[in-house]
Amino acid sequence: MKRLPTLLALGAAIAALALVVVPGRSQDRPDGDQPLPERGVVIEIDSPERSLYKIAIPNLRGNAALGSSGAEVLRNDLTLVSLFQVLDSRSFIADLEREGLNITASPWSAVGAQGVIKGEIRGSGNQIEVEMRLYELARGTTATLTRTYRGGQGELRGFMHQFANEVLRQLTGTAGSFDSRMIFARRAGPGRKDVYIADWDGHNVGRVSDGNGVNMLPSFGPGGIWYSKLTETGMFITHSNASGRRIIDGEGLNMGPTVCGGRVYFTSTRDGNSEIYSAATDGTDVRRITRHPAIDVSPSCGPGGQIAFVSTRHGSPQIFVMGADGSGVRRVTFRGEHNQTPSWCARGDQNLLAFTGRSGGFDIFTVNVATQQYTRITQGQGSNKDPAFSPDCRMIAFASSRGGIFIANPEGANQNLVIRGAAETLRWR
Amino acid sequence: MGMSSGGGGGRAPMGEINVTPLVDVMLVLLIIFMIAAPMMTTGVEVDLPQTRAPRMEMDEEKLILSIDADQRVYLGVDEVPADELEAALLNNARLQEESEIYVRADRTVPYGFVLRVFSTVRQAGIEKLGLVTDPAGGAAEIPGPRMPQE
Repeated sequence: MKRLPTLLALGAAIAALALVVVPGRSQDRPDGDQPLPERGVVIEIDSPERSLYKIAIPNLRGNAALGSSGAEVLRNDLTLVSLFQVLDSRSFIADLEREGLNITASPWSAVGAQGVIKGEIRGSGNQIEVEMRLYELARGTTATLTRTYRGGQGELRGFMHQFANEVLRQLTGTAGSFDSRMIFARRAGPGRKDVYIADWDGHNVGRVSDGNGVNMLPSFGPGGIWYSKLTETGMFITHSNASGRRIIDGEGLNMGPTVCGGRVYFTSTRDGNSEIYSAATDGTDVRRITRHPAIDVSPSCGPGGQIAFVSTRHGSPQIFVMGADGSGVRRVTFRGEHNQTPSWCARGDQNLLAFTGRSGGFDIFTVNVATQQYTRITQGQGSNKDPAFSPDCRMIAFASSRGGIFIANPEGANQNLVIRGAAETLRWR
Repeated sequence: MGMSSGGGGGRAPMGEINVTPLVDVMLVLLIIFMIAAPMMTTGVEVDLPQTRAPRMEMDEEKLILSIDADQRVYLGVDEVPADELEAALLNNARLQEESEIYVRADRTVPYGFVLRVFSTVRQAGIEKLGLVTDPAGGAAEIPGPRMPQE
């Protein structure tokens, strides 16, 4: 009976998950085809995957090695996004040779599949053509989504991510963001820190900064990846296509850029105290937008040009939000003694902000700034910091002392390590 | 439960039922029930035994495992090679969820073979197993052992 608490936790987590799963296509039927039982809400603790969309993804045809790795990209994407149960291919009983790119319904419904993804790779080397199909068994055996991609073998992962995006659009009405990337800073040696970029699923990790000195606090922006570089007397802001040029410089520390509405927001100590400033993307027209004797740091651009930042003006570090010109400052975190590193969900309708909260250790939380509803993403499993939402807000990444960058769903379930190695201050786009 | 007696000598009464043995029993139990097949249109040709099984409404949605006269096993209408059956059942998401399967075995299939399939079904964690029989004429006749000349 030792498993019961685990099952309960899992069940509760998945029950929460059910709220975001839209198994059918129609937005006006959010309960899918399972109305709530009359006797009240039942939490299934013994079959927690019940509300996930069951999808079968056999290896792509045409090329054994590529077909297997391509299907694996799709399986990984759809598993990590927490909306699908990817069925075990050992259960498949369909005659894949005979079916080809088509399907017959019975062997797939016999293994519980609600959807099937088939694909075929033709050609080789730099000229491959990949045909992908999605079947929804409830809608018959005609593909409901078909895409063909052409390019080199090296683009196969990208094709799979793009198709996974389309699958989500087809099944939920909102595309996925599986072709996105993360940037982060990582200690590269004694006295050295560099900015890195990687596919969100941990592939193609590459260094962005020049490999000298301390480079940190990266952000996506025009011209490439913006970041801050330490000098002997302070910090300046540059980006990946600036050839080391100082875009924003000045007395003291100039750091933590975030770009929105054609302007760069950053923290600077040029006037003696840490305040938030904005500048044009060429570094001119610097304007100070916070005026308070307390510390103001970590600006983060959000939907509609709102800027979230951290301030100690009420005593302890808390998250505040203001307009792009510094007007309308309001506090948005009212729980915990120490909240930092805010990061927005880019979807304006969600009003979601993720942040790091400190209570003993560090953990990840989200707050709906409209309703003040808090969600705890991590529960003290190591130290967890610096969250970032995926562009579609279906996943949250964070740096964990458990071994690298983890992602979780917005309820904190389905936590998986995607990028190994120390990392900090991540951004995802 | 807070029934411990501070420094006491005697044994404190047990405050709760020990459910472990019950759970163990549940785990090995395979619920077998018999159902009379309605007009079956599964596509796999099986000559079902005739019985007077009580007429249970058959849930057409449940997965059917058929064994034909040549001892070939089918899930739905698709044949599953014998060496892949266990993996196919064990990893089948629908079976794991429903935990119930109907078996249609041809009347000529040896008992030993059917039992081997049952055992595979149980190892796959399926607890309810419906034996599908043919109700046609079953009200009058209970089939006995067959004579060789038949």
